[in-house]
Amino acid sequence: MNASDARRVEPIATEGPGLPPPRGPWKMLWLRLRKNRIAMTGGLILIFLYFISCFAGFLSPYDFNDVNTDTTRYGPMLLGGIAVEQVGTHLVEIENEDYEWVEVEKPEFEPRWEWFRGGLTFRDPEGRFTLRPHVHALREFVSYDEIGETTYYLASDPEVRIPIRFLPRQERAVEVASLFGFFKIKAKRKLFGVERPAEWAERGDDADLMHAEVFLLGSDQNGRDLMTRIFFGGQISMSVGLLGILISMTIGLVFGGVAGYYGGLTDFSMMRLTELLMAIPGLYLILTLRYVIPTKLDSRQTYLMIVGILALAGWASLGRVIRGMVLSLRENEYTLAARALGAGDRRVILRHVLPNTASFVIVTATLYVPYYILGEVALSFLGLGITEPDTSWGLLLKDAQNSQVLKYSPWLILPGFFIFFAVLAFNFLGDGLRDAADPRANLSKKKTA
Amino acid sequence: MLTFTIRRLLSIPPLLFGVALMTFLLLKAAPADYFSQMEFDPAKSRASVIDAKRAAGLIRPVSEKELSRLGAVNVNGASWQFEPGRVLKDGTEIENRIAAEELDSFELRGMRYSYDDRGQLYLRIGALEGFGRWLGKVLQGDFGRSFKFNQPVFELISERLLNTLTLSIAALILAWGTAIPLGVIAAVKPNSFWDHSSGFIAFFGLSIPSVFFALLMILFASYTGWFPIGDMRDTVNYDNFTFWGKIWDRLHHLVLPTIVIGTGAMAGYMRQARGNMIEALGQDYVRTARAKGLPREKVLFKHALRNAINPLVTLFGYSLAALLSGSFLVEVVMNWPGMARLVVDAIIAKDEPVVMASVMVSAVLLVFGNLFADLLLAVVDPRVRLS
Repeated sequence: MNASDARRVEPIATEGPGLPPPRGPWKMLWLRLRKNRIAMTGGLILIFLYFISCFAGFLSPYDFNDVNTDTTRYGPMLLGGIAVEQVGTHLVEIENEDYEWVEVEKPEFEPRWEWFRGGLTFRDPEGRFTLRPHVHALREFVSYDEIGETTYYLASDPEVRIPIRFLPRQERAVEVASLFGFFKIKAKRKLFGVERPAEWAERGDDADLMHAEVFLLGSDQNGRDLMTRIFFGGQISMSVGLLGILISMTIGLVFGGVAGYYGGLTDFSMMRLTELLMAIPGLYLILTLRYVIPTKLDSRQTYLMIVGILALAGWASLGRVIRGMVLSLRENEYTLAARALGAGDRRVILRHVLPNTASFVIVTATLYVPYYILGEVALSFLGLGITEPDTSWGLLLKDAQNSQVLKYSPWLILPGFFIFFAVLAFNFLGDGLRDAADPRANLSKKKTA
Repeated sequence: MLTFTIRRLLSIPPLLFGVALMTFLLLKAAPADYFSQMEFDPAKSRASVIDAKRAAGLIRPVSEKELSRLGAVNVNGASWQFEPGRVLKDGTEIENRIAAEELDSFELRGMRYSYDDRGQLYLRIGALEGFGRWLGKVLQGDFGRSFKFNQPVFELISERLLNTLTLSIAALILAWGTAIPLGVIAAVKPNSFWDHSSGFIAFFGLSIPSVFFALLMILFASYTGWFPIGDMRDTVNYDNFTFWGKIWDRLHHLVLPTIVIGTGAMAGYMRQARGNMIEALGQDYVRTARAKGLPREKVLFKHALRNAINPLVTLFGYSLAALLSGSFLVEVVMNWPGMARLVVDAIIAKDEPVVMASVMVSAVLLVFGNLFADLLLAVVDPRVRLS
């Protein structure tokens, strides 16, 4: 009690009129970081991305594997919709109910993308303006060509609008929140969704061709909502980076700490080991490690496999840098003082040397996370990581790999923007943290700039 | 300089040996190999699988001498006595076919054996022995045969490697060709329009994932039709083109992947070039040069730029080290017939010799690239040589 009192009194003595109150190093870091607008933007983007992946279940209108083969590849309703235009009619021979062949006039349609029409709308079914968002119903249009071949086009029905329901009740409890796919919380509500209107039942056969769906970011080749899959994919893509860097940083700290502190033969052999790992280019090392692990894994094993591989492939360079820092910190006066006071090796490493690497560790960790995120993207994209029906951003991009598919469903590239923004945000934040952690470097940079 | 070079050169063989050993042991630790699927395939006879494995150098027949040394062994609760061409179970001879079924794969004193229908006992070659054999062959320039393509690995890889290097070097030229001028312009006129736009390009290039950028470029190409998508030349008409037509076709295919890889690399170099140039421009010798009335261009190019280039020289060395790995994902997305596709397919098919050889090639390129960078640094900075 006395000791802590004494500590508290001392700064007050140095505080004079006009002097700012003394602050701890972390507080200083935060104050400097807060002034950096770019870094704060990065931080906000990250908070947003982690928010949507944690609450993926609640925010998205579907489950991540709700396959609907009738609603494949519909465009993003947030940006518009697909409309069909009748381009002509053809006389087609059709067998009627009495098994006779008759010639009937049938329409030929052509689908067309319409910006900001045919998707999300603020008009109710009667056409009046309303604050409640509506979506157009989807309808399968049967198009006939000259030789009577039929093609089904999925397009919006300009006449039929369905209200979006907020907090709709689900039949069974669904995941609403989870920490990266672990610790799931279940409930019977989702943020929004649409229901198939009951009056459609009176439409008879026609109703089979109509679908009530809300695909804010479009649907994929299996008719699954892309937004839902992106949100759930974030649970994996955004967390492998954090977990991976946590593991490699721990290995790097232990390894670098021991090698740097003890030096000699320990240091020599440990550094040769890191050189071995660093002599193989990143992706080749990741793929070689992937080779060792069985192909058939369940989704949780796959996740752990990816984290493990990325951490194993990434720790060596961290370990080397930390070793270099420890080497110089070891020679500092306070380390000498601690040793002179009789502190053991473990205490010196854990209490005096490693804490001084803290700001470096945080900055480096932030700047390294993108490599781990991209590592997951690469593995899943190559078909060696997350596999269907699970979802991750890399796997979603794999759907866009076919250039023909991509040309006619360009929204399949949307998950790429999420990866891009995640990487960008980590770079922004990491740069800002580095400047905040080392203001002197920043000052000299400003002076020369 | 010479001692420095020799010292660095001497450190390479043990490093590559270590990498090879580590990779080989890793690959051998995999739970399944290329032949695992064959073993479950009812259409393949046991003898044919064993022949394939033997040809691949995974197993070897146990010689008569070793058989007699083996003596009677206890497997699955029965005593077996192996003799050339036949086998005795609990003292009585049984048919080789039945014996092969019972002795499909068994372990004895840490070694794995298998028996085939023809009365031959095989021993699985251990990881270390296998590595010795592999190393012996590699030192003679033989990287083995691919399991999947049944083709010498060297042929398979050298063609792909050439394609990858073509792409990487094109990207390297683009990156360095644009990075230095842009960086210098940005540094000479800080806070100008050029500075801001090149800064924007740099951040964009550093952050955009290559997969995503490549897909965006494919999208761009498929809408405009200005560039061909996929492969490195026209797959249909290439042979009908004239000589210049062929060159044009190849260049045309090269443009998009080069832009994708080059932009990412350029961003980093440009930032570095700008930073170095700004630092050099702030130095006293530049002020002196200006003060004594030298023309602006002379100060810029003779005094500032020459000093700013030095750190970039090492960066250039390291960019050579990344030649092979930098283009990996772009090659896959853009269907470039380079190393990447080969390696991914080999990993999926468990084509061990191909994986092993590609990892070694990539490591050799990386290690020599780093050596080159160190040597360049030693050339431009004498302090490195002396330490």
